[in-house]
Amino acid sequence: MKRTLPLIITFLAGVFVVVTFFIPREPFGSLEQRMLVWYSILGGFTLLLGIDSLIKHHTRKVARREKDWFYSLVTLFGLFGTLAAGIVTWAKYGTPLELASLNEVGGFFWVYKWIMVPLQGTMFALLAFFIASAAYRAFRARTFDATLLLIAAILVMIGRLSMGVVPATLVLAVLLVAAGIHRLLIRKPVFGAVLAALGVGLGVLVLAFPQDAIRLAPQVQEWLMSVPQTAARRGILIGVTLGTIAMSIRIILGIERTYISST
Amino acid sequence: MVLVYLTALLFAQPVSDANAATPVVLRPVENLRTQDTPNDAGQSIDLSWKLSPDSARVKRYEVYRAQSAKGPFEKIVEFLVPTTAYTDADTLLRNKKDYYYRVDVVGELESRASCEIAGPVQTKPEWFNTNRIPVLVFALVYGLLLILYIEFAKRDREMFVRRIAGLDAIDEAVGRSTEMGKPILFSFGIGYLTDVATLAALSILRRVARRAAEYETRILVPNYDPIVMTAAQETVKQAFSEAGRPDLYQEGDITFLTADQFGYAAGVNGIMLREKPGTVFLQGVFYAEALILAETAHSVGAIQIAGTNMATQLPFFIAACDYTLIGEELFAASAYLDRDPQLLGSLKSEDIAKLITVGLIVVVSVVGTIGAVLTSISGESGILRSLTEFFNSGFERLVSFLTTS
Repeated sequence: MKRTLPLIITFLAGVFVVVTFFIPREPFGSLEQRMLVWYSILGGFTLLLGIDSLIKHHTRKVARREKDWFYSLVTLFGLFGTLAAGIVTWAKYGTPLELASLNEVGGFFWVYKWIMVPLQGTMFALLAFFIASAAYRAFRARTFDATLLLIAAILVMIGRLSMGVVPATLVLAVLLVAAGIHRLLIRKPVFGAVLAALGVGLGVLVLAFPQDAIRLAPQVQEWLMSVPQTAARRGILIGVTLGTIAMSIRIILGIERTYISST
Repeated sequence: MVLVYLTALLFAQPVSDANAATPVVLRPVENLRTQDTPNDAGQSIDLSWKLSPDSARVKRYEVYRAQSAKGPFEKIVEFLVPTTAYTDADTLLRNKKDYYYRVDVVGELESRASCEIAGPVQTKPEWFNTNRIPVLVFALVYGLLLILYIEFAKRDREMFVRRIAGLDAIDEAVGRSTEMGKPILFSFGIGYLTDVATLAALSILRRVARRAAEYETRILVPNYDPIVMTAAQETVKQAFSEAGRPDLYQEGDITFLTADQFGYAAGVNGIMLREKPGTVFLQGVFYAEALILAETAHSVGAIQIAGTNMATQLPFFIAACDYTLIGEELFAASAYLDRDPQLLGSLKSEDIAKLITVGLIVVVSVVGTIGAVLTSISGESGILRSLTEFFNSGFERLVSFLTTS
């Protein structure tokens, strides 16, 4: 029964929402939105579960002086410090969401502006460095696929340059020749020869027709983004959409039960 | 000479003022039509009209509504640019009541012209949204395929499913962590339990947790959403029980971190740097934190198996992780890992639906191309013209069907 009841509720709720999708008349038309509102309200209450888990976990670590307990102390200080800031602002203004608290040290919005926002910004800024390191690993021309990826990425970058298309393309040509020679040296003659020939060809073409290179670079970039890139993305999206539908039907019909525990 | 000029100026001025003071006579908008907005919940009326022949001199268009043809009319909206349609979805509208409409054009010096009053028109809620018939057709066909293939799968348990490297690597990855004496870290990203990707990730967590219990390896699951945390705790607990090691289950390893995106990324990064997991699973819904997590996992030397349905984050995972479950592969996880005939059947039906979709896209492309070629060579009449119209209208209907589905 512990497993059957949730399956029945899931089936009834799922079928009901699917049926109401086709009925615009109230109260059916807005039922899906209303259910999402109910979910949000329930979700608000479940935050208490999260806070309970957080406090228990970190107080235990601090109490037992477990490894890295100091970080747990900082977490607890952050949690209760923000709570205190909210209560103080509330007591003063009647609401914790008072904008005047922005300029008061220890005010709720002060904590948000001077602690939360910079920390979030710092984490987001790290992304730039991670993109560079991931790109370096992904674009190393070790295989044919990685080389294609590398060439496509550089062409897209060149196509988006506002100036310096010719020197940038020449750098690409030199890189291709260097990669080709490297492949030749490690006994991959065909791959190496193709890369080197591509590099030489590209270099000669750019030097011979620099104006055409400047004109064509944005067009090549546009074609790469709108044809192969869009085709691949749409392929993934179609797969994801069908997968989502299949998974939803499996859940509604009770075929997929991994989300329900029987313990 | 000067006197003549001044006299002329004196007489000319009043004439000019008289011209400016005369309001410009405008012609009103034409053919005002009203109808209940189709396929809605009522309380909405569509209006359309043709622009005034003097539209170049019109400063604004005003739409008026009344509950009687005699008025009083109340202005409900005005447009400063030429407009030919408006949907009145005012919350004050009541179903099954008569409404009348009028559109005024206003020119220089507030000269205005009103069109003929349109109405009465009533709003009524619909029982069925006919715009969604293609969705219904698609759902019925897909449902039929699903039932058929589940039956096939029940008879033929050896149904072929192509190998998915990311899922094959799960046991190896758990084993690697065990050999290194390091924990496993599993992240759902910042999805909720309403996300299908999170539900699919739960089935992967179950498999990972079962293996972890068998190998007596610790599994850490930091969470962004408390509901997902509860589901993860239940899943891991059950997996440990199934493996016969409920004693190894530690609720404190499956914790809530924060409901803030970058706070969560910072928290998981911190856990990775402190605990140095041997294997990191990034399964579920990820946004900008995807690469931050994947690169940090790489920096601590963890083997990474990622999976998401977010097309924008997939390139990052492919670039940074050892294995990536691309979109639908994530949804296939439970069928692939459990080999349950019903799940395998649904997987097969998914493939057939994909084949039908691809077939439809090919048909639409061919019909569209033929229509475009015929348009360029056909004349005003004759069989070619009819064929062109046939293909072009077919193309439009197919595109409409596909996009609605």
